[in-house]
Amino acid sequence: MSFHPLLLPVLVPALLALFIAVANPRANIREGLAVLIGIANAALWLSWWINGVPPALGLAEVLPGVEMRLELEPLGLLFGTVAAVLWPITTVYAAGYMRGNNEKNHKPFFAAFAASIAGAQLIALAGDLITLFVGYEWLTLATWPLVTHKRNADAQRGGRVYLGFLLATSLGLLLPAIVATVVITGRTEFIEGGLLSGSGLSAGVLMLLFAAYMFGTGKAALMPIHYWLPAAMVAPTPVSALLHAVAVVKAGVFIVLKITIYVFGPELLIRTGAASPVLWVAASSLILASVQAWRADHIKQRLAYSTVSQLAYVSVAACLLFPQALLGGAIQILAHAFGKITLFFCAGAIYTAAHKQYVSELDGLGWKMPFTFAAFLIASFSIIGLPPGAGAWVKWYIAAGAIDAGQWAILAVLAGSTLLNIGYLLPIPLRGFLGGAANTGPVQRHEAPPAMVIPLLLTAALSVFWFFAVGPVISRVSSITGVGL
Amino acid sequence: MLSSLIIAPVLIPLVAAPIVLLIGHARVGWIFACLASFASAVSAYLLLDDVATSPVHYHFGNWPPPFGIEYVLDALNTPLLMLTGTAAALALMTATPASTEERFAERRPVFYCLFLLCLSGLNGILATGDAFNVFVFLEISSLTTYGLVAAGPRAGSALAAFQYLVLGTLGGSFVLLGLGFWLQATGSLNMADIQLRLLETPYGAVGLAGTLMLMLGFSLKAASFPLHQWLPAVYTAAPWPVTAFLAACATKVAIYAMARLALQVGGLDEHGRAILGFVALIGIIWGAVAACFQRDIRRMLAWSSVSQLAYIVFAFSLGTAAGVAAAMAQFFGHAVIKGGIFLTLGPARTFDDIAGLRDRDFLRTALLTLLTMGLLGVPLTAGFAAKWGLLSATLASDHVFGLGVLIIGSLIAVVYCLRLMEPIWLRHNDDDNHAVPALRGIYVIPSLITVLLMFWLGTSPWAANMGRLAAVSLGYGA
Repeated sequence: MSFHPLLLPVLVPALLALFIAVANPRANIREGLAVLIGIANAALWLSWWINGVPPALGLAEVLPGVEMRLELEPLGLLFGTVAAVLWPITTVYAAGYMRGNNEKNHKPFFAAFAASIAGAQLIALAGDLITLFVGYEWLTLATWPLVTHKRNADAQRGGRVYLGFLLATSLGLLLPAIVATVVITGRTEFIEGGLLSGSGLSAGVLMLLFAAYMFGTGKAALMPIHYWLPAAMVAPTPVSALLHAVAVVKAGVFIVLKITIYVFGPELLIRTGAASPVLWVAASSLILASVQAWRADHIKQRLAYSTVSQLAYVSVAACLLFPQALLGGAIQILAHAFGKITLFFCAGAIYTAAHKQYVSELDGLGWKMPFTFAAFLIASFSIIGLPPGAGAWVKWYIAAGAIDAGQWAILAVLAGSTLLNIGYLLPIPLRGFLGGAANTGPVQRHEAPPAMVIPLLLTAALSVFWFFAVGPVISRVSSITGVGL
Repeated sequence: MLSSLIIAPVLIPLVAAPIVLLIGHARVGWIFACLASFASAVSAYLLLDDVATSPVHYHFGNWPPPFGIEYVLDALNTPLLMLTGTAAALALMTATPASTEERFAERRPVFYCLFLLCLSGLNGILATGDAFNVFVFLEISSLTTYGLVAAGPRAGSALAAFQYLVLGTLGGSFVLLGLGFWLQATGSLNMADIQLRLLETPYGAVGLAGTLMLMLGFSLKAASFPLHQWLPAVYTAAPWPVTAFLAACATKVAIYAMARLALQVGGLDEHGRAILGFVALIGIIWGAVAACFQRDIRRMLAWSSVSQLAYIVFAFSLGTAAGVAAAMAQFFGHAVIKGGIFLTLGPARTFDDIAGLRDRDFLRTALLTLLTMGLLGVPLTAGFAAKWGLLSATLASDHVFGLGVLIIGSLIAVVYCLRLMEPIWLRHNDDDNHAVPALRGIYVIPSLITVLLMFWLGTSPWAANMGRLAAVSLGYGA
């Protein structure tokens, strides 16, 4: 077998993880190498946008008649690129954070980090259900050491909830759903139009199977299986930022979209109405999580609930099934990733520089940390859906899809959620800049180390950049969802 | 060449056992015993291609069946012969002459001799086509196992061995009774012959009684729920190389005998299989739940075995080709994984023994973690292949209740796997506990081999293809 470029995004981070774990290089070499490899990896993914994706690669027959394969389609390209671009940025940030907060055990941290990225990229590249499941479980297990990084009682509890929810849903619902699909169709690969489209299953069975897939993908954090996400916030902030705002949860909603499009096929689901129960669960999840976020005072908790709510946008989009909505869901993978990682970076910077963890403690802090709070403001715009944040496109397209589907109630949900987003996100920068006693004298500026501030400015800038540069994403993704813009 | 190979897996350890005793030298005897075990596995491997198409027979003394004793190797028992030989070789490798795990250190050759005899007994049960011969080999394997368990390092080892002896003898008696009933009903001791004759008089009361007694007897030897009580005590009391060997094959051979005699020869009908399957499903949950509450690692793993073995019984009870294939996948998967875990744990017994293991013994931590992932059924491991086979066979049989139980069982497994991983990865080694020396030297090799086997089984369709052929051997599908 000649060497195939699709293997690189999986093997290279995995080998890096192994190298860090076994060879134990010095800190500067370790983190420098991780950043360099991360940049090369991101360049590889970006080159696939320009030069076209490599052909599919068959790996091995792991079970009789079941071949694992790698195949890159537009959604996978989008998700993989998002993870790849943010990895080196987060590595720089993580190096600053770990040193700035005197965290211990850097070696396993960076090793598990690279291993997690390998898992996420395997999910992006999966060409069949088995490979997808391999990547899914890999990502779950590789992130457990990161969640439990502090090795205290809190971390242990968080780790239990994390593994418990993710493994229970994947082994209890996702795997049986995959097995059922294979028993019914005899095939595992993703095909356009939907693997199950010709299976002749009744609407009731389809409804159950669809629900098993949607709830089985615990990483998509649909209520009521979202508990793991706030629990995972015991992890160091770089982990929360890249994994629990980007790689892990985006893998979840990516799978939601992928299953909808390639396993069921939107036409089949529209015809049978099998997705409608999950649509209402997702819509409720969207609103309830926003309310929870509003009530949370702990910054990371607030962001975690906000993530639950934002992930539900993709699930809602997947269940609306109309091309515009699916496109909106795909853009959310991009927009929310850059927006939310910026917010987490800011939370970590605030913790490192000022040791503040609660929203109520932030009064007046904005003038001490102007860059951090400005980045927070910009990223909030993107999450809320205000131009020039990339998130504006998400609401635009999902709303258009809801109108196509005739779901006016969903439109109301979107509007209500936007108001809630404003309500729980904007107070943070507003308190920072306007809150507290009027500042009289000159303020001593005290930002986090540059290794943390530069990444967060970069991601904030990129979340505005994608507002203007979303064109390639739309043209690629609409080739599979079938929307003519 | 071919015909004498058929008896090699039984004969090699049987002949090697007294030779080890005669050699008398601990180190030489140890190496010889390892090689003999390995040779028995290799001899089975050499026959694998021949048995794939049709069974091969060996008639002792050229007496034709049903009068003489015959050995029959087919696609079901030949792979299992490879398994027992390999497991014995790997377990023996860790039972070094210098080991302090077993008592009677001055009589090491006796220990190796018993080990080889035990292997020979298990292989005999697998290879023979004569029903009474099964009983003979069952007693050989049982009697030697009592001795091996009693060699354990604890004061309670002898007591555990005695309890096992009482229950084991009970199981053996039921087997003997069952065979007697069959003899009464059919006038034959040859398995193929009995099968034909039982078909002629379907379910005569005497034949059925014989079948049920055999099931009961082997259920006890297989530690099938609800006859599993002896298993946790034995696994805890035995020296760990013995525990690893027993966990890998002993109970599985009993399940094989149950499938061969009760399902194939006795032709258990669908009602009987439904009851067998239902009891196994309860066992899956019972064992898994009990595992979550144990304070001793080996006891926890033993209860996990009760649950995992019930998966095999359940798969057989489906009575389909897919079910047999799933049973084979679980045979191999669980043998490699659970055997590997016991070998890798080594002398560790309590959760304190492995606290903070990652900080002082990275190799053991890594291997244990990978094996535990296999136990959990993570993809690419043998555990996943087995789980996949079980789920799809159950779904294909429309056994919705079974599907639910399988899923719940695998969820409970998450809990006990996490109980094993948490002390290793999260706790700190506060009291500077060095009960478990770092994994190195000869001890690394068997653990490493089991991990590699686990991934090989998980990424190659070998076991599933073998399982399909095995199903044909048992009479399902063509």
